[in-house]
Amino acid sequence: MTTDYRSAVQEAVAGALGLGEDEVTPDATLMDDLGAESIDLLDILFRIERSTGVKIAASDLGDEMQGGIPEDEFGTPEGNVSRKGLDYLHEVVMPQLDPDEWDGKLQAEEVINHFTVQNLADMVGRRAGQQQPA
Amino acid sequence: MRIRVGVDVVGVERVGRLVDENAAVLDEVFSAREQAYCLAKRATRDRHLAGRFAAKEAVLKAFGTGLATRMRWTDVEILNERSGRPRVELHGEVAAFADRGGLSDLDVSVSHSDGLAISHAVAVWADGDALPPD
Repeated sequence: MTTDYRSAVQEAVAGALGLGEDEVTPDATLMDDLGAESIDLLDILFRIERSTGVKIAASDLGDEMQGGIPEDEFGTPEGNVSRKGLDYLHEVVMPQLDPDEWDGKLQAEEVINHFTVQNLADMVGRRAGQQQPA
Repeated sequence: MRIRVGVDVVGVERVGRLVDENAAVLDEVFSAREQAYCLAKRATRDRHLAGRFAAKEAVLKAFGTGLATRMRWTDVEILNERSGRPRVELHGEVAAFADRGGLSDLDVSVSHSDGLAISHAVAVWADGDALPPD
């Protein structure tokens, strides 16, 4: 089992999508830049589990990004990510998202489109820490 | 009233390989009834699994959500009438979303050819205002 999560994620993404590892750069977004779809996410996450031992279910990705913030606090009635949600995304999940730039402009279902290879590697690292035996 | 459609296509061999390599895929994606039906079709198991995966994705696309937070693939259950015609049962967060949006009808069709499974879903909403914006 490796603890080099960035390399593990790059290898998993390249394998699942049939890309060269040089194409899977840390700042590439999984959906928009690399063209991953739902079945690809399933494949990627199982490949990561095999190489790192860290399990993230594809259907848990949304919950991971929301970080336990209740739905009505993470989003606005108009369907945008709230300022609280943007601050959480910036601080924990997607440092590249500037809350000032996206305030009132980011639809909740579009968040996944900004999720990068590095963001996934960081998520795997956080989950690995949570899975460490006490 | 508002009508939305969703379509999805997936490789049959790919779904079969994912299931063979990661038994947990079955429980993450398919309900107990779906598994029982598909696994009984030994010679065509992968085709039936892939058709159901495509149908789940098509429904989620017709809802305009994809697999959103707290939704599970098992929330969209693809069953068969005695005639073989597929029918959809919704559960969990997906059913709650359908209730909030005023879903009045939902239909899917599934087909297979040349190693691909394709599904088309049509959703009719009585209250389209509750749906995510286009």
